[in-house]
Amino acid sequence: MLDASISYYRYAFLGCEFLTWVWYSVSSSDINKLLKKGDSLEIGNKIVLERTLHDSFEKITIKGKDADLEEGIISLKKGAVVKEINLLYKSGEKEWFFTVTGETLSLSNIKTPDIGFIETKNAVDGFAIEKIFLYNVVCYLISDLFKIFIKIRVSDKWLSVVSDIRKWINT
Amino acid sequence: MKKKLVKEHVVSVLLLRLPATPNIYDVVWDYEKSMISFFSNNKSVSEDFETLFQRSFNKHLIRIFPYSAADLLSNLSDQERDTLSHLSLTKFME
Repeated sequence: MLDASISYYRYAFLGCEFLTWVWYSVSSSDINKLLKKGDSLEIGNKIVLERTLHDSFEKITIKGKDADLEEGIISLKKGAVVKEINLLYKSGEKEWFFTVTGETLSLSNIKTPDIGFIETKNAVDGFAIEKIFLYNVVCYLISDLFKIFIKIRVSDKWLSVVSDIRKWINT
Repeated sequence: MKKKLVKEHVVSVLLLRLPATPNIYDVVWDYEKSMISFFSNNKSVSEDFETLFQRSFNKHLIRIFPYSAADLLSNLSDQERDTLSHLSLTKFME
């Protein structure tokens, strides 16, 4: 494996491409084929895009529940990449909100389904284990989606995916 | 010059008297899967944790970011890993 400090910067674009692919897959409903039956993934309340052209640098942040993502699409048309995306994952009646950062693949602002309160001292362990389990649900979800993405990314199929994404951006 | 030295001395003495502010970060170690979840995205905190972990357990942590996730966790074949190493940025605009 390459030195981490080199590969971190050299291949940071993979994380941003992954987030663009997730956004496209959510918009085209293709994502549902990749999830467990009945589960769903939606764009949450925030997308951050960045564009660097020559010496200029642009950062576009779209925030708000049910926000119109049109400005984001326009930014993609201009060559911006998705740096950060907030997602809503639904499984049964449970909902997780979380933000994924492309460059690091790190998760933040994770809001898990409610698990009640700690009423006795003995319940602390159970509470912690359940909370960790709920955090892991989104960790494994993103990890599994990234594995699917990277398999496509290193295959010839990527060319047709890029073509589909371009069509989506331009419609 | 003397005034500056006195000032520096006073500042360093006072800083030593200040109680350290503890910061607490959660860590979960899934020993069977050899996976650690560290609950902070702060770069310097993560680096401090890596150093502390190395000193405490004499084990080196591998940070998961796009390339390491692709290379180590995605079950790629040798050919796919070779393709991975030659990838470059895709331009989605036409």
